[in-house]
Amino acid sequence: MDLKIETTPAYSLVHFSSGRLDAANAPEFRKQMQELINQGNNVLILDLASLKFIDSSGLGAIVATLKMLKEEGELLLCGANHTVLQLFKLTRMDRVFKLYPDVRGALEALK
Amino acid sequence: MKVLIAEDSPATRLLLESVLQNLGYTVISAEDGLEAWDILCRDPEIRFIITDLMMPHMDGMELCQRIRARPQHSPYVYVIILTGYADEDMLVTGMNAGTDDFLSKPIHPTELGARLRAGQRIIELELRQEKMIRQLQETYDQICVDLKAAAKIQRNLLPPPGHIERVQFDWRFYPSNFVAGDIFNCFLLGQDYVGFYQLDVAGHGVSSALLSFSLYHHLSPSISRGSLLDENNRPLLPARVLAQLNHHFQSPDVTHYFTMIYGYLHMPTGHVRLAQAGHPPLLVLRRDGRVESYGEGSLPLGIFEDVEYEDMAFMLGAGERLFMYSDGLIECDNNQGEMFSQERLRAILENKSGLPLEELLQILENELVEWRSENFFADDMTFLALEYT
Repeated sequence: MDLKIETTPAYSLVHFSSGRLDAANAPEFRKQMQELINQGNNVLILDLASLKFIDSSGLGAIVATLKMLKEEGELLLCGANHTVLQLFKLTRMDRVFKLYPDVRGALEALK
Repeated sequence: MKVLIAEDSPATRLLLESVLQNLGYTVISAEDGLEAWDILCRDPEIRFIITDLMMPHMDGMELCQRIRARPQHSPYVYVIILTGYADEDMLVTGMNAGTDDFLSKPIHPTELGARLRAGQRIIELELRQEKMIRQLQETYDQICVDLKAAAKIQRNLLPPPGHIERVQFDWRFYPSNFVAGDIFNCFLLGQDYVGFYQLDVAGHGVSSALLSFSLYHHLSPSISRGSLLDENNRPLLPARVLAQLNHHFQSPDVTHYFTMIYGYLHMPTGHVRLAQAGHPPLLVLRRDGRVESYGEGSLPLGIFEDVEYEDMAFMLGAGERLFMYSDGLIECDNNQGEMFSQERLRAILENKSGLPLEELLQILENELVEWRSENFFADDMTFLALEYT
């Protein structure tokens, strides 16, 4: 799957570009997040702005990323559209994840 | 390896036969293209043809074209054209007709041997490929047989539409890939209750279906009374049932979590109690056409330990209905990539509320199939309705 990852000493910013995070590409996304975390990056910002849709497998992959980070890590999500926010609300993930309207909001929260 | 020779000149034919036999090939000869074609059609073991260009009845070029025009699954036949002149036009026409190689007359045995070995490499490659495709096909066929059997088992688990005392129910079930991660049930619970649930295991296909089978059995009142009824044969509170399921079915890597609605209806009074875990809301279809929605958000099951769920309760009057669906219903997209949506679902349920239950479900199914423009759903798609009579 096509992810653009910008890594700085303070955080890694992950941009999606495929439009969907679903059963077809969720396993690959998990793998890439696992690698990123194994390399010692424990503050991740996922920029969901270009995702139109996340299905249950996609949601599972994001929660799995949160679990991989454990206590010392941090996961911030930003740019979720209306459909994705509805999924987060229905599954109460809006209370599990730290959600921000855009990348700037997430970066400010990190400071 | 068998080699077929098509050559009208007896002298050249004899020469070819002797050279090929010396090289260890089994030789079959034909005097023209038509005879060669007949032999080839009868003997599928022939994978090699050396043909003259100019022959009566059918020339080498047409023979080659006929061979290449055979159905795709026919064995590959390597064609060498014999020619006394090799100008550019002839080469181009020959290759367009599907010729693999050319051999110029007069024949040099060493060159012929080298060209045959080159051809043999191609044929051996083709043979290996054919074998591999055959093995893949056999494996695939076996997987399909197994999946169809599993799909049948899954379908047999589902309650046949009908009545349980005062509750009528009906449903539609469309697995995306033989077997589904969606499953549901509707059953007599204790003395006076009808229990019901719908659940959707994340993902779809075999691994999701296996968990759905396991959950089905866990929730079957005849198999494990303990998970749904207390010692006095009274139903356990739905929120408690969900909390216990969450505890028993943790998926540490979050691959096989599931969403669910579980509840029961008290038949003497129409009192309904239910709890939701990350599942699309349950819709109550009132007699006047209003659609009410229950369950606006809660954590799915299997992700986090020690989650508490909340019960919701309301009354159902005679003729009123409960409607549950998996996310595959509202998320199924048409060929423009647009999702069916909860709004569209609600509109149908509101507008057609006066119809009998089976007709309502039929109309909804028709709308969905029309929306998809096909009888196939990319995700598991299920809906289930109960009517209190």
